[in-house]
Amino acid sequence: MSEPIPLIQLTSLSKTFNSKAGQLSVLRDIDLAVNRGESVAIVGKSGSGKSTLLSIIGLLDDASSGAYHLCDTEVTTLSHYQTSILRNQNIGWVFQNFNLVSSLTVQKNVEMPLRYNKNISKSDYQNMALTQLKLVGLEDKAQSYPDQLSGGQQQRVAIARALISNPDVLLCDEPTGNLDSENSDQIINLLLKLNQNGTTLLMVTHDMNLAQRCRRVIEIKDGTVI
Amino acid sequence: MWQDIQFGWRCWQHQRLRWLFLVIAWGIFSALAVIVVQLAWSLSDDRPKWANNTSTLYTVGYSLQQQLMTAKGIHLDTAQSTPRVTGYSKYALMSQQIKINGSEHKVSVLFYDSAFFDLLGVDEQFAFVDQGGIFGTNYLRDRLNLTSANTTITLGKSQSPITHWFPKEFDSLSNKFIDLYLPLEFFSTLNPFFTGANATETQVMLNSLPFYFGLIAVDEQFNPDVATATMQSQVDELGNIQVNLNLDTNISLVGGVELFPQQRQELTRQLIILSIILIAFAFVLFSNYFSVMAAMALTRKQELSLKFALGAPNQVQLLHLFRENIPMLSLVFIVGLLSALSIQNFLLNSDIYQKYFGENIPFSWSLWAAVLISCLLAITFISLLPMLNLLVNSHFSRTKAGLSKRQQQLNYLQFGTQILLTLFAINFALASAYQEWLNQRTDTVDMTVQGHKITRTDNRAFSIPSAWLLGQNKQLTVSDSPLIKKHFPELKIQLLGDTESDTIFTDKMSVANNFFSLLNAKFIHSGVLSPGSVIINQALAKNLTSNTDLSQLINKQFTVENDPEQIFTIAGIVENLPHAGVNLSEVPMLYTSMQQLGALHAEIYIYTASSWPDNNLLAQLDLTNEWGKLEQLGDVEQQLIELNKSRRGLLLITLQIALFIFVMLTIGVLYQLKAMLMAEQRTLGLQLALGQHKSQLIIHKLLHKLSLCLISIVIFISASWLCTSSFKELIGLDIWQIPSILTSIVLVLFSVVFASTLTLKTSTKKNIQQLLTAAV
Repeated sequence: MSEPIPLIQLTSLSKTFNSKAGQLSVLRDIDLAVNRGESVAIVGKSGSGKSTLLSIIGLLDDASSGAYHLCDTEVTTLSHYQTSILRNQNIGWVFQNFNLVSSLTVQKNVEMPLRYNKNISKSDYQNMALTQLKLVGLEDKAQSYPDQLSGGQQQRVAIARALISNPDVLLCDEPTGNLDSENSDQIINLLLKLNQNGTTLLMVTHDMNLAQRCRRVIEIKDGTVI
Repeated sequence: MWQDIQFGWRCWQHQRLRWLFLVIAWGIFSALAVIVVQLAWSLSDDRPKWANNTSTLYTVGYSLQQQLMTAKGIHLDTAQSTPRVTGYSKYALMSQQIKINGSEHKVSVLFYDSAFFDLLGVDEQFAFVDQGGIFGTNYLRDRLNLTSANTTITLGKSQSPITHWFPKEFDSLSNKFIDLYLPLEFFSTLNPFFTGANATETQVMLNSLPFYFGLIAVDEQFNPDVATATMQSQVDELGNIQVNLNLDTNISLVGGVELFPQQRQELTRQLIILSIILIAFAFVLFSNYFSVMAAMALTRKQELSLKFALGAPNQVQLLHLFRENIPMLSLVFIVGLLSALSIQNFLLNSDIYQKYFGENIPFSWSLWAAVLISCLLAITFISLLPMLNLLVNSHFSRTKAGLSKRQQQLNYLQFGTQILLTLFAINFALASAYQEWLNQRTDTVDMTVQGHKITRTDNRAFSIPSAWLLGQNKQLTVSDSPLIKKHFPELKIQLLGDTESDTIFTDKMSVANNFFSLLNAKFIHSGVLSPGSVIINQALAKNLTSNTDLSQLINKQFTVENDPEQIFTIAGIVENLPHAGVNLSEVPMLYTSMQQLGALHAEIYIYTASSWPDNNLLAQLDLTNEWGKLEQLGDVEQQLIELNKSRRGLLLITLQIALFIFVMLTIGVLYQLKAMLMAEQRTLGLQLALGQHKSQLIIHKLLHKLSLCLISIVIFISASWLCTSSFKELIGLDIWQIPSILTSIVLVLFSVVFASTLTLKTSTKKNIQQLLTAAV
């Protein structure tokens, strides 16, 4: 029986930045494979390159060299438009500072990714959004605005938004970084529950407790995977 | 799409005043752009639409400032001898009362010679023009509701029929409507000046050299400068031979067919000034609008980056942003359209427009629409430009960065240029206002006289009662030109027995003996007006002698250049009369007695101390209503207001534009600073977190902005000082006036300080934690 194809496959991936002092190598020859349904924590000191790695995996940034396969597709050869589609339909993002649009209601915030998906008609937006809000326990807050919610609630809305397109992978950048311990626990439990339901989870965190609750922990030091 | 529009509308609802102001500003700018482009386009027409000749044409004219009454002119046959002239035609223009079908009408007449239509080129269907005749235009027919059949005009003592009617396409020649085309030989019939038994030899000779324009066709190697010099030298040579004809003229050669070449030059000059003002206005407006949009873009940086993360392609985001702008763009279009229509309507009916741009300029609705749409596209482009910049650079790693050094430098340059242009605009307006205020402050005219103008409509002389000329009627006085008018000193005089004195230029009026007493004019040295003696004004006296004691000029004699045999004696010196207002009357004037004029053939001006019944005036002048026309000029104050209306009107418009620019600057600086601060917010937050005091931060930033202003102020002061003489020559305005310069600087600094303080104070109220939070 052949091994399953990894959902995410990085091969000799490198990232360098140009600065006044010369070229700065942030990531060097990263080899990483993430299978479907896995939960992976990426840890490392500040400046180790973990956020950069997550950005590349989430198609927000480009690698300087190497190969990146997502859902068996070589993304480095794709056009800007094609990577947008991948980002919209295959990846869900959860950010440290939630990044909700304050002038939109909770429901409209959750609906946002659907607006860029031509395969979904407008008449389905509301139902799909409410379904996700129910999943995170906030269906009664659909018409509220982000500044009317607590930090934990905002992060749950952000998770609902990330899930609405039924992505293959959920990318989380310090998801509990701005939360107190009680809310952090709630969010961690929610994310792990989603992972148990089959959603691949990849998160960057400083929280070793959180990291250890993931199936795999990857440590990055000086731009390389230890 | 509807969601995007709603979203955009909601965003703008939060800042209604700001957007309302910008919408109005854009609307008015669009309107002004439409007007300027329309005028420029209409001025670019260099020949009538019906002219088929495509060779290069020039119009030869004079710079005579419409002094037809003084008969300074010479026919331009000299133009024919200019090298490379391949065709030549003379024509003359007149606007006067002519009887058409027995009724008096004021018409514009073009007198053509045999080469006129050939030179311009007409179709075969108009071959009748070769045979000569009187041609009427469609414009005349519509205006007077004439039928084509049997329309006759009275020329002198005979009646002649209009032989042909031109179609509508002949209605416009350059920027004037011509009513009638008459053969050139009729010109002297309708031009009765200086004929009759009492006319002097000079006047009769001048009548044989009437006032013409020339139209010349040239080949490719034609050099207009050489041609102008050749014609000028030939005219000057003739002037030297016939000194008594006073043949001082300045020949001008204007490209194209232009009935009044000097007017086209003047119009072009005015249009250039207007265009410069519009460009400056555009720059300030564009900069302000860009600043506002850039600030908005930075506010939405996070949102745009988020949408990028959620999978929105740049094209889709741009489309959504464009849709969000639809409400605003629609408002701009509507305001622009309404503004353009009302401004055009106002301009077309205003005195300024009538004076500077003539009565009829063809407007093109397609050009109108094109300019309006171009403005709309410009607004759209500028709206989306900052957003586009963010979208292109919206990768997460880059969004954390602030402005690059290059962007910062561009921002500083934009800021500095905006300050500089605003300083110029405000100084221009304030200098005009200050100059006008100086004029008006002392412009109190202490004259309670009513003006009347009487015009002859045929070539018979006015019969003026001698009692009026001698001043025996204490209630009224007479002059040959209006009391209130702008004067142009063109008469050359020279004192006798004074070989060192230069030839002095002066203007002249002939008046009745009681002219000064009725007007309560104040004498410096009293004198009596009589044939052979003159009264001069203070301005002329100061030009004639550098001595402060003007009394030494009394009884001095002088000659006038075009009449060297006649000697005049200075009998008295009067204080400057307010011919164009007190402060605009420093024009040298000499006043001669009307007794020696004999008959007058055109118009006379009567000033009465109290209201005088019209029929009484006409009866005493032996006129009947049939062939004499009386026009009330009103009292002197009213006449001055009418005379200076265009100047004041222009000033008002200038002040309004300056005020608008000032307000726009304040708003623009406010949002430009906001954009700059948003880009530096992490640094600012850090400074506050490290213990810098709020007020220290504000002062530091303020000083930085003021230092940028200082550079602009230095450039402004230097440029104003260097350009003073050019502005004086170009538009007669002294822009180097300390009160206006200082006020401009103070206003602009106030604007910058106010906007900066407001923005900085608002920004520093934010939570440090928020300021330190990275963007997505």
